[in-house]
Order: sequence, then structure tokens, then C-alpha cells
Amino acid sequence: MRIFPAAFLLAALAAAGCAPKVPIEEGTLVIALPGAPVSIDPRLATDAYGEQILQITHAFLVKRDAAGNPIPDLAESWEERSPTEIAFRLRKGARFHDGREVTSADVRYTFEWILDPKNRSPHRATYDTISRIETPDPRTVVFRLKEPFAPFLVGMSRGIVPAGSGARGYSPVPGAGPYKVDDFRPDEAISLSRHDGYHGRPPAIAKVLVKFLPDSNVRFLELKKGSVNFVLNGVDPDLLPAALKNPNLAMEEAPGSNVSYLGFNLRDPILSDVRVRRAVAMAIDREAIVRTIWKGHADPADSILAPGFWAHAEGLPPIRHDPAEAKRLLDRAGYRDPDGDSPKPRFTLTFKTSQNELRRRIAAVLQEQLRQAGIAVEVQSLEWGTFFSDIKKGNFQIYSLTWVGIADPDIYHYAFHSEQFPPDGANRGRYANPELDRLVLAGRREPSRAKRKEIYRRVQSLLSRDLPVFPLWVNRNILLRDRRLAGFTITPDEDYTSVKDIRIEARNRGGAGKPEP
Amino acid sequence: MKRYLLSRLAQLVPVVFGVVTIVFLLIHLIPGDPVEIMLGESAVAAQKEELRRDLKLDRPIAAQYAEFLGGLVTGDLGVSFRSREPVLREILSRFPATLLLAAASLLVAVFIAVPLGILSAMRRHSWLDHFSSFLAMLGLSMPNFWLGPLLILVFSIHLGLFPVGGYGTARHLVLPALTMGTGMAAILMRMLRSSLLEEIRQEYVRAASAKGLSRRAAVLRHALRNSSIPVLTVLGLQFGALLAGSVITETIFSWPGIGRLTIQAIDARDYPLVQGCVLFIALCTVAVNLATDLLYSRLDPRIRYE
Amino acid sequence: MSERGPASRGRIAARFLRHRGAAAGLAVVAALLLVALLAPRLSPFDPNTQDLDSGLSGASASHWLGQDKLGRDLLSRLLHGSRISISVGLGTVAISLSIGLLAGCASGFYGGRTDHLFMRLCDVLMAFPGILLAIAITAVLGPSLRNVLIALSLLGWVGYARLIRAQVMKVKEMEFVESARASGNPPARILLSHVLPNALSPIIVESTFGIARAIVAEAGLSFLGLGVAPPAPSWGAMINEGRHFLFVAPHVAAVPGLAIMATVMAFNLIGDGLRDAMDVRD
Repeated sequence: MRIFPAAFLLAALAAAGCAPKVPIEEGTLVIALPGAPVSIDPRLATDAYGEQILQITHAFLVKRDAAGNPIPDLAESWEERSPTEIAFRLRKGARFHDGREVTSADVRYTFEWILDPKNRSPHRATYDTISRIETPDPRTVVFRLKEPFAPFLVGMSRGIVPAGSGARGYSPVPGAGPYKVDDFRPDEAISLSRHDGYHGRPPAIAKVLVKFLPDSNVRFLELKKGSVNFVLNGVDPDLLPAALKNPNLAMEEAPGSNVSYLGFNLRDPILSDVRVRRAVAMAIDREAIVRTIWKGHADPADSILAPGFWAHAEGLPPIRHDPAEAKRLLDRAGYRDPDGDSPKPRFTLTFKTSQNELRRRIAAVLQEQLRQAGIAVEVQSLEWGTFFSDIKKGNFQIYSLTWVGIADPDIYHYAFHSEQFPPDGANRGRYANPELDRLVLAGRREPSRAKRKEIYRRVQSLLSRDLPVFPLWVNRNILLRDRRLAGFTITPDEDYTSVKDIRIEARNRGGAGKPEP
Repeated sequence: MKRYLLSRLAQLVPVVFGVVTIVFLLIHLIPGDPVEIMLGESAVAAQKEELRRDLKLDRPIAAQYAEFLGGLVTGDLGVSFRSREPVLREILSRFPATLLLAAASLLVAVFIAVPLGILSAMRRHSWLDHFSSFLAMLGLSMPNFWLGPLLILVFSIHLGLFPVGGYGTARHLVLPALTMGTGMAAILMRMLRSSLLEEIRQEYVRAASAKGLSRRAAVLRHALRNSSIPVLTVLGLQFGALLAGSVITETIFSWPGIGRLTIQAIDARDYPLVQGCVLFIALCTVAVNLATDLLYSRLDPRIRYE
Repeated sequence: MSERGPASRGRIAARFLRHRGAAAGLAVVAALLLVALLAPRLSPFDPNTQDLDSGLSGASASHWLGQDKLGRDLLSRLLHGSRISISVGLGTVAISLSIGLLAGCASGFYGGRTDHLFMRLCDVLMAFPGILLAIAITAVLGPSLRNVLIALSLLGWVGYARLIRAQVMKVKEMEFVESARASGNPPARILLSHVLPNALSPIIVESTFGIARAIVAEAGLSFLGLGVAPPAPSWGAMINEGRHFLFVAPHVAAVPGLAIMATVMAFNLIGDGLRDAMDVRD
């Protein structure tokens, strides 16, 4: 019996003897993502984590800047020869991770692979308007479209792979991005190292490790310990002050573009009345939620487009928190409160949400706020597959979700056109408005940015009046990073492209001068 | 003995078959369409129909079931819908991590439970007994998602002894094994204590001490051996529970195990992967039960299998 | 083992109470039942009233145990949550026991093919990943207290069934049962009046442990998002809500956690005490 404690002590001592150095001291950038990607092949990846890694490992024809405008990447210039013919001129000297030079054949192969039905790429629909791809010379690619399609350029932000690359499950596909994949362990981490043949300025940091950490407490602890030194939107707002107690960490905040919204089922007898929808919106105190749940790191939204986006309409009438007015609207709509203020409700609504803890928390707050207006809410927190299935089938009254990474206002076609009811599109509320239909179709074909902006201003105005969805808030992007890491630019859509610009700076000892842990 | 073994192996087949069939039905009947989850909403109807045909999801359930069974016989578990990796490879790649965690947790449980269990039984109602019981209750009722981060805070952050999470070295194994092992240790300790108490009361122990054997030797040599059967039973059961129930620990420590894979597969309605994972878990559980049964006969000569 | 009479039952009770831990456990459970019954009277606040700007506050004069993230009073939620936890514990065991009794009795008494079939069924169920069943049930039926009970019971009845089966098999060989059978009594009668009363003690003991297990299992289900729907203050849901704030406001998860621990301990102590008290070699 005496052996056990002794053995344990020995083991503990042995373990304590060799504590590893913190990664930043070894010049490694360690990023924590809140989940693991299923695929890191640009032709197949659909989840956000996969897309973010691809922004580091692959190069695109065209990228986007913070306002959503296209900027050159592999293509040094492009020309719209006609509304249905766009030509790209590739830059010289861009190389894949395996050394091969990037040519027009690779671009053509990539998109043809996606369009091939045998490959079952989830991105096929995005490129449906392409009728033919021509490669007159190794540095020129010409896309011919079936019809004019304004969002086409946005779709050109797709990682290019070498011609002949099959898709092999988890095996990484070479890209032409600033970092190459050394090792991909699904569910754990992906190790990257600098690509010396990169066509842009070579990254300062040689090694990047991206860890997949689904538990929020663990992300917090890893940051505290220093074994992770870069987390974008991965720490609970309530934990930010505690995290910043660590003198090595700094926080950066920038506008975001993820808009959360409340979706209504317009076919529901109660919710088909716009006065009821407006009443529900007015009963909600968004400011309180932004202040207490988001700790001020969000802003109430008036549209599903983020305020900094080029197509965002200015001057939309805001919806104020006005419980008294909400009650008046409900009265006028015929839903009087049966017994004064409590406890019997005017009517009951079911609110469906996923199992995400944050969403449940917010659902509980909304439930309570609506109760004050006399509306009883039953919250159903469902497993994701079931939740999504119900939403699509129209088996709901209200639900809440977030639009992530909207890159083009064509989203309004996808989400509100009367022929885009699921399963074809995302018009889950079954909104049908001929005027909106006309506008979004025109917007797809209109080549002039200024004219498009006007079209979509009218669209947003219509939606603001009809409220098929009630935009709730847009979250800001919060970056927690080691103080010594500089150079990363936060974009509204959480793009990881500028990881290549990160460098480690010597610590300036201006402050309290605490020794490093 | 051999005949027993063969007959038990033969019984294994309908059991596993039963589990796999039930899971097949369940996963196909719960709401949620894998095609829609895979392609996302932007796909057009025609594309979805194509994929459905491709994956043979448009056939009647009975036909899909027959195909699935056919594949099983040839060892082909299909290809995961989400990752397009062969299901067998997905599972096998997670197998070492899962096994390692289960074994390490069992070891932790045994290291804690055996000494405490023996001491508690021998010094019944002493302060040690009460303290051990208290610890056991603690272990039983503390959820893993509480214990895990607490252990991390103390041993990884403050003491710097172990990494926070991940998989790779022996150091990575310690905290997850401790998290899972303590719950098991509690159950094991109580089991051992109560069955030891039963044995100690028996005639042969009193006879042994009358013959001059020190009480301690009597306990260790005889009582322990005889109590090992119910304890083994519990261990066997716990091992099975470990395989599927390690989801929480795997999530917290980013441990690439089967538990998490199964949940992700279910979320994505990745039918082949779900079926593969469940088959694997069922096989392991049944195999462990068989192994414990065989161990019985070694430990207690009274039990012999004809 | 002979048939028990009222005198021996009194002896058992006396032995039980002598066991200090068991007596303490009984006291705690009694207090718990009382609290659950009187929760609305005892709670200083409505458990669902929110006060967003005071989220995560610690103990204060009006909020003795502090407030959760949405500013709700933890003490009130704890008291109301006791009702849910007790329902889950007692309900799960009641259902599992019922199913287990039927299955175990039939299997143990009739033996032969029935028994064989039953054992195979048990094997299948025990090789089954319970999580999948829990997800399937809540996916199809929706998340609610009732469905949590269904899921947990379906996962738990096997243990009772096997126990009952073993007991029934042990007892049915005994003389008095043989004679009852010989005199032509119907099986149900034999089971009810002869077999079961003697098989009762391990079943009761196991049930108390089962209650504790069910309460812990509910916490686990909440972690996976499969527990009761908001704003129900089940202790498991409270822990799950609070675990995100472990490092800034530990009391939010610690309070319900301690409650679960105390309850589990109490039931386990009662089970231990019962087992010690009833298990004497006659």
C-alpha cells in the first residue's frame, strides 16, 4: 500500500520537471478556433472554420477588402468585356505549395471540378451561371456566363487548386496561399508553415498552429496560460475582463457583419398580421440585451446588412423599444389582454432555437420581455438537424438565427424572393411580395454599383416596413491576442487573410514591467 | 471451455445485429435530411435529387438496409457523407485515442478505488471509511464538465504541470483520465467495499484467522479474490459506458475520440458514420463483457464453463 | 431467508437509524421533499423574474445566494429546481422499476426461452450508446421534462430487470414457493405474495442509488442540450447555464452543483444504510 503514494509523487515530479516554453517565445502563432473544420478543400468546404483556414492556405483570383470591394490576389487585373464575359489576367510567378506555377489551366480545372455533378460540390449552385471557361494563354482566363450576374465577382473568392488534384478526404490539397499545411489532425489541430514561394510579401512568422477548441472555458484557460496567443470571437463577453487581467494579452475590437435576427412565419394566422410582428419587435428591448448579454460588444441592427457594407441603406426608420405601443398594436390587431396585465396571455407563440447556450440564454430573455407585453412564449431548444428541418418545413412560429458573412446583397433574392421558399432557397418565413421580387431580380442583373445600391435601398425599406424578419443586432468582432503580435487587420466578416501580416514585436517595457509567466 | 467460447461468440452476432438494426431505423426516422445538411440551402432541387440518388438515399429503407448489411459482410462500412473519408478509416483513426483514454481512466479508477476500498472495508466505520465514502460521493455527483475545467485550472494553469488539452504525449492523457476516472473510482470503491464486507463476514475468513493467519493476509488473499467478480462486472460495464459516454470529457479536452465523432455524425445525419460508430461501440462493449466473463472462470474455480 | 414479519421490520428500522450517515441522509431527503413541496412559499422571488443589469451578482441582502446571468434569484431557482430534480429522480426510478419488474419477473419465473430472449435483449440494450437514444427521443418528441424521463427510464430499466430476475430465480427454488406452486396458485399470486417480498431489499437499495444516478444523468443531458426547456430551473440546467462563468462567477454553477452533490450523497447514504440494516444473515 505504501507504494502507491510514492509512485504518484514520482510521476508528479517527473512531469513537473519539464514545463514547456510558451509558444510565442518560440515564434509560433497559435490560433484557437471554436470548432473543427470538416473539410479544408476549397471546392468542398462549407463551414466557417474551413473557410477561415483556407484564407490562410489558399490564394483566390480575387479577394475582398473590409468594405466588400474586390481586390486582386492571383488575378492582377480583370476586365468585363461584356455583361456575360469576364476576363482575368493572372499575375506572374505565383506558385503552389508543391512548387508548380499557377496558370489559367489550374483556375479552369478548379471551377470545372466544382461544376461537375459527379463531384457533388456544395458550391456548384454558386457557379451555375458559368456556361464556359476559356484559357487562351497561361495567364488569361475568360468566363462566359449564361446571363448577366452581378454577384459573379464575389464568387471568385474561391481557393484555386492545381489541375489534376482529386479530392482525397482529409488529405490537404495544395494551394498558393502564404502558409502550407504540414499536418491536419481532424478534431484536434492543423499545423502550418510558411510557403516560401508565396507571390506576396513573405509572412514574418514561420509556423502557425490552429487548434480546434470547442469548449469556451478551455479557450479562456489556454489564453491565460499562453499556449494559445490569438483568439478571434472565441471568448465569452463576460470573461473578457478576466482574460485581460493577464498583462500579456491585449484586446482589439472592430465592426462585424454577423446579424442576428428573429424570423416570423408569415403563414401563421397570428403572425401574418404585420401589426403583431411590429408589436413583437417593439416589445423587445435590444439595448438591454446588447448592454448585458453582449456587454456592449454589439449594436442594434436595422437591416440584415451590416452598417459598414456598401449596400447598407442609411436612414431606415429604427424600431424603438416601446412596450406600451406594442400593447396598443396588439389591441388594435384584435388580441386584447384577457385580464389586464397578468397572468393570462393574449396568445402563445413557440420560439424555436438551436441548442447553442448563448441562443438559449437570449431566448430566455426574449421570452421574459414578450411576457411583459402579454405574449406567452414557449421556448423549444432543439437539436440542430431537427431545428433546421423544422424551419425549412415551415413548422415554426418564430425562430432566431444569424446571417454570417453576407458578401453581396443578392442575399435578398435568396432569402425573400417568393420562389425561394425552402428547400430551394432561404425564404423560410414564406414572404411573398411582387414588388420585392421585381427589385431583387433587377438587382442581380444590374452592372452599375450605384444603381444596385439604390435598388437595394428600396428593398431594405420594404422589408423594414413589412418586417418578415426583425433584425436584432450586429456583433462586433473581438480579438484577444498576445501584446507582442501586431499586424492583423480585423475585417467585418472575420476573414483570416491578414494572418500573413502578423509579426512578433519585441515587448516594450513601458508599463508595470511584470515578468513573463 | 472452447465450446463455451464459441457459443458466446455465436451469441455476439445477434446482439450486435440487434443494436445495428435499431440504430439504422432510429437514424433514418429522426427528422433531418443529410442531403440538405451537406449541400446547404443554396443548392437547387435538381442537385439535391442527384445527390440523393448518388448516395442511394432515394431507395426504400428496406433496400438501403439490405445494402448496408451486404456491405458489412464484406467489411465495407461505406464513406462518410461529410468528410468523404471511408468510415472504417475515420473510426480506426480515432480508435487509439479512445482506447488510451478508456484504459487510462480505468487505471486511475483502480489505483484510487482498490486501496481505498480495501482500507474502508477493513476499518469499517473508522474516519477513513467515512472520508472515503465522502470522496466517493463527491466523485459520483460531480459532473465531468465541472471537474475538467477545475483540474485544468489547478494543474495546468496554476501549477503548469500539464497541457490544457489535446492529444499526443503522456502528459496530455493525465487530466482527461483523471476527469473520467474519478467517477468510475467512486462506483468501483463502493462496489469493492460492499462485496469485501460480504466476504469478510463469511466463515472462511473467520476460520483463517482462527488458524492464525493475520486478518490482513486473510482479506488480501481470499476475500479479495472472491470479491473480484462483482467488481469485474462493474469494471466491464463501466468500460462500455466509457466508450460512448466520454463525449463531455472529449469535448473539453479536445480529445479526438469516438464519442465526439459519434455526436458530430448524428448532428450531421451522416448515416454511414453513425452506423459505423455504433457498430464499433457495440462490438467493443460485447467483447469486453465476454472478456470479463472469461476472467471469472480464472478467478473463481467454482465457475466453470462447460 | 425467511418471510419477514412486522417485528423484523422494526428491527430493520432501528438498525437503519443507528447508522449515523443513513439517518443524516434521511433527514436531508426529508428536508428536500419539504422544500420541493413548499418551494413557492419559501422562495423570496419568482424564479423567472429577470434583472439583466445585475447579472452574475454575488450574495447580497436580498439575494442570499446571488443572481445568475439573467439576474434571476439563485435561491428561488434552487428551491423550484428541487421539484424538477425530485420528479426526475423519483419518476425515472418509478418507470424503470415498473418495466424492470415486469420483465425481470417474467424472465426469472418462466425461465427457458423467455429468459434467454430477455438476456439477449439486455445485452443489446447495454451495448447501445445511450446518447443516441437520448438524442433520438428528444429529436422526435421535443425537449421537455416528460421526454427526459422517458429517455432516462428507457436507458435505465435493464439494471433493475436483471436484479429482479436474479432475485426471483434465487427465491423461486425455495421450499415455500415450491409448495405454493404445487398447490396450484397462479404465478402472479405466487410472485406477488411470496417471491417479491423476499426479493425486495436489494431492489429498494438499488432504487435509492438509481434516484441519485438519475439526478446526475439529468445534469449530463443538460450539458448536451437535451434537458428541460428554458426557463425551467432544473439543477442540471442551472449548472449548464453557469459553467460558462466558472471563472468569473463560480457561485452560479457551484450552488446547484452543491445541491446535486448533497442530494446524491443523501440518497446514497440511505441506500447504504438500508443495505446494512436489511442484510443480516438469519
